[in-house]
Formats: sequence, structure tokens, C-alpha cells
Amino acid sequence: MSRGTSPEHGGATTPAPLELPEHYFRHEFGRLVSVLSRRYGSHRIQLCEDAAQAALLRAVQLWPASAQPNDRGAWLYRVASNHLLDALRRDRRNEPYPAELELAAEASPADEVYLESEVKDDVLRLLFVCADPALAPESQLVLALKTLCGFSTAEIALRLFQSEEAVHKRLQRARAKLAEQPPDLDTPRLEQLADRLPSVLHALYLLFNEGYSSGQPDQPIRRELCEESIRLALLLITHPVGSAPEADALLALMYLHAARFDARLDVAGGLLTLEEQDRSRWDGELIQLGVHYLQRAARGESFSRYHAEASIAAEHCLAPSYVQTRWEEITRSYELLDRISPSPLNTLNRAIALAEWQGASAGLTLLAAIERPKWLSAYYLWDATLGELHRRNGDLSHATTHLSRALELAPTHAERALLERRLKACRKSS
Amino acid sequence: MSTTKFLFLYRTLPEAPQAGMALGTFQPSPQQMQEMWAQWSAWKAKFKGAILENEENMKPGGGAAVCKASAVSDGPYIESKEILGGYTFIQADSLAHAIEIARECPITRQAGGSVEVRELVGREYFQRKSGS
Repeated sequence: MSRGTSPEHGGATTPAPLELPEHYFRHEFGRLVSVLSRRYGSHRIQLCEDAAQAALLRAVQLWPASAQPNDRGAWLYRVASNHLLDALRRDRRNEPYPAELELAAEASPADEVYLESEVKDDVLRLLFVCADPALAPESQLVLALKTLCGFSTAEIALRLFQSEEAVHKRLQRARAKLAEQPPDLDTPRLEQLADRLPSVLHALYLLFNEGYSSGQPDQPIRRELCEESIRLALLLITHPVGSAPEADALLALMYLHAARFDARLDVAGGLLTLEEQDRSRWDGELIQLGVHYLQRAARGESFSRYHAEASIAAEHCLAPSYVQTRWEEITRSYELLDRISPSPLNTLNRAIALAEWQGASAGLTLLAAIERPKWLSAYYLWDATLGELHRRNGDLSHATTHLSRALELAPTHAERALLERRLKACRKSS
Repeated sequence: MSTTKFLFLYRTLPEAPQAGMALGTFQPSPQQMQEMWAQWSAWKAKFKGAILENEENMKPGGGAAVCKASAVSDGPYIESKEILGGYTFIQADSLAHAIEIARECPITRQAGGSVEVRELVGREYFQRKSGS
């Protein structure tokens, strides 16, 4: 899990060692697409992706066979840039070849700059481009995973539980949308995109949740999504454009959840409830980071959903035990959250906290007061919660009904195993 | 024991002639490239000493031409089924040893990838043996 700013890439002057940082190729892909799309326009995003791909493939074929470049980033940029310009020259018939590109093509290698400070801006810029409000949030996510995180279509499909074809179509539509923009508006500076920050934060939030709320947290590939969202959020908050309390709160939220990543699993890879988790396995370092960013998020007046969710996560992380959790605080935070971002899911969570604070019947009363929306009719957690609250309330017949239904609806093996345990306990005591 | 110098020529499938084209060729994801890199590193480490490092190598994706009496064409990329991706010099005990090294080269595990092994000799190879 990313704990701080990692060196982006060593623009070292000494010959580079053969070992590369973890995820070097994926992250370098993202940096290349970022720099190229700023220079040649986001409407050419596909060309930029192809050029980045070609350069990396050349690197893996050439570097091991010869002395390695002193500055890998510059080497890759040069090769990708050449590739892209070649492609543009070939496409001349279809697309007018702008004079500025002709100039770029003729520029000497020494004119080609690949400044680390600019790369960071370019990566953020592309993040803001991906968070285009004209794109559906799912498309923003897929586009960011492809262009910024360097995942292939197949790898994205695997991580988002979507078909490869669906991901491919989403990507094509997103690229088409970017290509629609008039070229003169095409390369807006990062500052011009600053008002997209809420959309960027939401995309990062979704990305993190994709990795975290999966029923298969044992899969390292899911965790990668969390790592990527933390990496990008860290990049964001260190830049003036992302310097907002909401961004700090979002990062706090990510760290506080990530701290519990390993402890959520039993030895068989099954999911453990908060109550069952061994708190000594929570990552203290990540909790500290989370609390640090939550404190930073408290500057200013704004209180976002990320603030509310991070506060709840912090309460859990700082509680010495499940029983000693400050359920009253958590209930109030859920209340705030439900007000900022009204959702039956927030009410559901509020009911769970309320039940811990004031007893199962209080939770059931809260849930009885709202109507379960149709889109949640097949949501297993709703039934799982009702089942658990009825069980605690001593109403074993209702408990069994809801737990059985939750068992039918639960999407993954880990979740089913958890429900089966509860159902068994229920039947034993009835 | 005397050692012989060999030339390894690495061949791969060509890139798509047109950017954005669906490729029937070898297109690993960046993540897979990282794995390939690890394989190369392991290979180089295993045959450390035998694999000589050259200062320069082929310019990626450009500066190439194929000249024939009939015409000069723009590099081998359009027509060839495979392209020369790079080269290395190898110091090995024998051809068998060089082949052993080549067979373990990660490029042989890529679709369409191969290593051509050529033994190099100097002019002394062709000199008549004197005396005896």
C-alpha cells in the first residue's frame, strides 16, 4: 500500500540498475500518455496510448540487450514521440498535419524536454481530462485505468468484473468523446480544468471502492485499484489544483479503510466482520496517515461526504474494541452523511450503528420507517442486516427468512460463507 | 579453455504498421512487460559474464531503410513478418554453450520472438597452421 510520495522515476545520471520499481511499466505508460496528450492533444489519446505502448515494448526488447539509458524517462519519451510523429505523417492524408507538429518533428533531441515537475502536472491534467463531466462515471473510471494506470482492456475487465468487450466499448466511446472537442480547446491547462475537482474526487472515490468493497478482497489485483487511487490522490493533494479539504478527507478515508485490508480476511480468505477482526492486524501506520489527513481536512468550513465517511472510518480504527466503539458518534456521522448525500444505503449503515448504540429494535425501527427502494431489492446486505438485527432482537423466524434470502443473493463465496455461519448460529439457538 | 564470440540477433514480430490498428501481433500489457523484464533480468544474471553489454543498439522504430537494386524502401517494417529488434555479443565456450544460453533467452517465450545465433571468427581462423 502506498504510504507516501514515491520517487516517480529516477532521472539519474548514473547508469540505471537492471531492477525497476514495482509497476514501473504501468506507471511509465501513464506518464507517457499524460505528457504526449498534453503536447499533441487529448483528441489524439488513442495515438498517445499506442505510442506509449510501442515505446515500452521497445524498451523491454532493447534495454536488456545493451547498456541501459541514463535517463529512462527521456529515452521512452523520445521513442514514443518519434512513434507518434511517424503515425501522424502516415495519416497526413486523413488529418491535416499541423505546422507545429512539423516543427516538433524536426526539433533536435536536445529540445525534447521531459521535466519531472511537468510530468506531474501532465499526469494530473490527464486525470482531470478523464473526469470529464460529459463522460459517465463508469467511463471516466475505465479511461483513467487505461490511460493513467496503464492497465490493458483485459486487465480492467478482470478488475471491474466486466466483460472485455464492455470495457473496450466504454473506452472507445470515451475516446470518441475526447476526439469530438475542437482542437483549439483541446489542450486546456490544468488550471482551466480546476472546477472539475469534485468530479475527479468522485472518480477516485469510485476507483477505491471498486478495489475495497469487493467480495474478493483476497485478490491482490483488487488491492491494486486501491493503491492506484491512493497514488493519484496523493499526487492531487500536493498540487494547488487539488488543495481542498475534500481531497484531504478523501485521502484520509482511503488510508483508514486500507489500514484494515488484511484484517478483513480469515486464513481461508473469507470475509470477517468488523466485530470478528483481529484489531492488532490493523495497520497502525496507515491509521496514523489517515488521521493526519483527516485533521488537515478539518481546516475551513466545508464538510463533505468524504469528511463524514472518513470520520466514521476513524472512529472504527481508533476504537480499542468493537464493544468500546463510540457508536453514538458513528450514528451521528451517518446522519450527517445521509443529509449530505441522501441514500438508503447510508440509512442502512446508520441503522446498524444505531442498533449497536441503542439496541437492535432501534435499528429495526429506523429501517421500518423507510421503504426499501426497488434497485436494492436484490441487495444482499439489506437482508443480511435485517436478519442480523432480528436475530439479536430474538425474532429467529424473521431472522432466518432474511438471512436465507441474503444467502441466495450474496455475490461471492466469502460473503455466502459468512451468512452461512450466521444462519447456522440462528438455527442452533432456535 | 578458449572462448568464442557469438552474435545474438533478436527478432520479434513487427509493430502495427498503422497506429491504432487492431494488432494480431504480440501486444503485452505494461504489467506483462514488467514480467518480461524480470525474466530478462534473471537471464542476464544467470549468464553473467557470457553476455557482453554493447554501448549502442538499434535506434528504436526509425532510421531504417532496405535498399535493393530496384528500390529503396522505408525500413523493413511494412513487409517483413519479423523485424530485427536488437543484438548482443556473447562470449561462450562453444556453439552448444551459446545455444544453451539462447534457448533460455526470454525472447523465445514471446509469440514470434527468436534469437539467431551466429559464431564470429577473426582472420586468424582462416590462417594456415604453421609448423607441427
